[in-house]
Amino acid sequence: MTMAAPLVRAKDMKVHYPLFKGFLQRLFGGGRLVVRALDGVSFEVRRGEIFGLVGESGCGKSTAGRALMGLTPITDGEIVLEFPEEAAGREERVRPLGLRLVCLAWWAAAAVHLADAAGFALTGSAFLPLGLMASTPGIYLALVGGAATALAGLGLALWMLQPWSRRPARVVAGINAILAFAIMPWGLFEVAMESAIVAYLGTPGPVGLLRRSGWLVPATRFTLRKEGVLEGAEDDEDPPWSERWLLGPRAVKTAGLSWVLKQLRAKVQIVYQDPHAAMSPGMTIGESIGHALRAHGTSTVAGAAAGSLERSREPAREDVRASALRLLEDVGLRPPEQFHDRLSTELSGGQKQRAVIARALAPRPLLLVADEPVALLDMSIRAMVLDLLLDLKRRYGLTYVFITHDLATAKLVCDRIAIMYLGRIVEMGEASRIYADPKHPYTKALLDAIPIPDPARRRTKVLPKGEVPDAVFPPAGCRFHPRCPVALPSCGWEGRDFLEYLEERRLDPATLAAEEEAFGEIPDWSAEGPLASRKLPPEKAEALATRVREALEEAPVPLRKAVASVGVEGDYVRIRFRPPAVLAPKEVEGRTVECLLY
Amino acid sequence: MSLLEIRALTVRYKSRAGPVPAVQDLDLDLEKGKTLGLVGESGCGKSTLGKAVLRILPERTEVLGSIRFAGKDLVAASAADLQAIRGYNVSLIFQDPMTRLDPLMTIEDHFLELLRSHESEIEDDAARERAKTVLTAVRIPPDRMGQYPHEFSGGMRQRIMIALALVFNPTLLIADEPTTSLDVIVEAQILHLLDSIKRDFDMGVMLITHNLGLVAEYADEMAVMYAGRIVERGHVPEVFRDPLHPYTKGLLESVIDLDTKALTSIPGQPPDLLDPPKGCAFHPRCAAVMAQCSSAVPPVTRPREGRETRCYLYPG
Repeated sequence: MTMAAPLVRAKDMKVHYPLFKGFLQRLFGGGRLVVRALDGVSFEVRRGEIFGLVGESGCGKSTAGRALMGLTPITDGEIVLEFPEEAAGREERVRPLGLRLVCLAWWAAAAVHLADAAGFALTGSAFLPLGLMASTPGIYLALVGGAATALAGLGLALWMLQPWSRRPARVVAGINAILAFAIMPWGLFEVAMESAIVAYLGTPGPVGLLRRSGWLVPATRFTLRKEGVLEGAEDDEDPPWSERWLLGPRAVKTAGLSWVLKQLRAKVQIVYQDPHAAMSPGMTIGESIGHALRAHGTSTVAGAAAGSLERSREPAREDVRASALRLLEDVGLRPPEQFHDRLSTELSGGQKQRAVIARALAPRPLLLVADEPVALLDMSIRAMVLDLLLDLKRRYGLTYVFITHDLATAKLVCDRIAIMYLGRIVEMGEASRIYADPKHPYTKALLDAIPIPDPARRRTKVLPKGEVPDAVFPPAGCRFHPRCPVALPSCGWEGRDFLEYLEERRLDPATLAAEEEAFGEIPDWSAEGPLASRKLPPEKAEALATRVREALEEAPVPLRKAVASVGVEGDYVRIRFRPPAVLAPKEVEGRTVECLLY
Repeated sequence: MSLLEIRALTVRYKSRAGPVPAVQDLDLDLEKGKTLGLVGESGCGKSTLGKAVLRILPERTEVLGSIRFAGKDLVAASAADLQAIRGYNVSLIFQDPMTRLDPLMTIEDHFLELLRSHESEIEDDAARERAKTVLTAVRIPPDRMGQYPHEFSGGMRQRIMIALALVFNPTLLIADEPTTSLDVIVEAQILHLLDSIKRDFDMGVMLITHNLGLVAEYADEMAVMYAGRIVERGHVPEVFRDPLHPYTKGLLESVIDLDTKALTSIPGQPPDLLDPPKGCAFHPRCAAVMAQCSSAVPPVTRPREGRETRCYLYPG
């Protein structure tokens, strides 16, 4: 495979979903727990390849797919999408838009607000039409109004910019709550007032000025940039554009930005797992596809496969229909005329998924995120839909990010894969190499767990114990270490691993009573980072410490060797673990592996 | 005598559009200590069959034929008799462990309630001991019995479901897609567990699944269903080595595993049960279709020792 230019580069991408306990905590902070769905993931998707994100549920594969198209804002890191010039050339020219300019505009607005307020306070002129200046109360009112305006302008600007967004969640929530309760109502009042004045006087106030200049975007809480990169073009009128998108932390949550994102969505589309939920039951297939065609202005019959697409703003009805029919034909729903006017509920699962794919192709995307596209389909039709996806890739020149839990399917379709576990990529590289010789113990475990449809090859499997842990409290060091069959003492053993070991010892009914007698109830123990401790009166503590040492002698080697000390500290019996070795992705035989074995 | 003996079973659901024949004229046997893999795609009637054994179908569903469990006909049995058998001699494990446990009851409460439903006299302490025994059998630490379902992971919840199903030492366990909502490693863990428990408890297991890989790895006998009928039956190794019915062949070829080199599938769409094709329901998708296939349903034939199929390719 030739090394094509990367279409997507994700660098140290993190997505932490905040875990809030309740309304008050949400307002005043305190909800600092986060689900670490993605915790530092870097990969590249090259043009024209099928890149597989593979892992069990909760590994972050779907979150990664959603983050790529700005559906899920990332918490940290960076995603760069770069679309090649010839592809971007099909696009109508879009004015390069630095949203930082919008931020600036808001600062300017705040400044105008302040000036306006000063004007209010000094002359009260803006209140003149209301006839209030004639009286002393009017002057006071103007002063108060002016101060409020200044405060509101500042508050609005601050709220938009969120300069404290990198502070701890508690602080952010607190400041936002104060702003929301104390300043925002004034802001709204001010905007209403402004509008009234503008309407009355016919002269624009700051809001009106902003609106007139086209910079009134109702939010700027993100880093989302779309840059037109001029590549050696002399003619300013029609340069060969290549597009570069930067999706940074906190990108895009606000409805006001949909028009910016829409342009990205035309390039990146997604196909979900469940075709029954993805199609509106009240619309015909033709309507669903027509919506996508209209939304992105991509309904030109001639442009279908050739790539010479004209984007017209107001597509004609016949054009939309013709394009929809063509798409239906392309995804194998034939005769297209018949499927065009059917409701999605009249289709079988496989046909529905084809319709979903047709709709995803309507905006002429370059990148298609396929999130478990065949997982819900029956075995006998899975292959057909996969075949279709491969065929469409060739005909439409697509690049796929293929998300699946099924290693067998990934082997069949993917060029490169990334095996994910609990928010990290544990192994990544050419699919053929990884399947031929998996390196990471987790990859090996996954491959070994796949049932083989051949009774002649029944075998005993060595399965990792337990299940994927909670992503709110991922294990220290390598996240797979508590389940890993070949773990080392330096893999990140910690206090709770000891408690888990105590629990395991109780699974033997014969020794259960003795175990409880010696170590007490599990909830008597507490684990915090590298420490496991139990509070006990000093006279009993020494005996327990001895029992713990004995128990550790019987423990698995890596756990035992990771223990730094067992001792009595005051009222506590404490087991202290050594710090884990530093874990970083390494190049091993043509792929990246994150494991201390290498 | 077989543990379970189903003869000429037909199940029809009532619907506004008319009766839906979910299971038709079906014969099946299951021996003690064996696992029967019941495979088929969605809508083939495999879950209906599982529910029919326990008679937990919607009211007014028509059930014809006979289901003999340990000599007793469950189709003709009274409601009280059925209640005594359900969960006691015959247990069922469902697909989704997330929704089958009551979120407001601790695991202990689940066990106490279940035990009292069949043994109303049982003492709390005795009940707890029984619960502890089965929980350790499925490798759940018994001192977590006071916790609520949400405090357990998906795999653990499914193991708790299995423990609940085992508490009366049933002789027949029906597992309806027991691992579909679980990840591949946990799936393997659960099925390993079921397999060893089957031996310890000497149960018959009916494993209902769409995953042929699981049948290959864990079942002794298998039955392939299509549109409410069993189209092929036999020992697992033989069916995999030499599938008779074209549907079984197609299904085996369309499995995607690590050795798959090219994608193959069965053309066409699954049948509409309200308006199934005439004759053999598979004939519109069949590569070996003949004239007689669309005229009448093929009879069951035994072309090989211990093998049954419904296909005109194998006359008598």
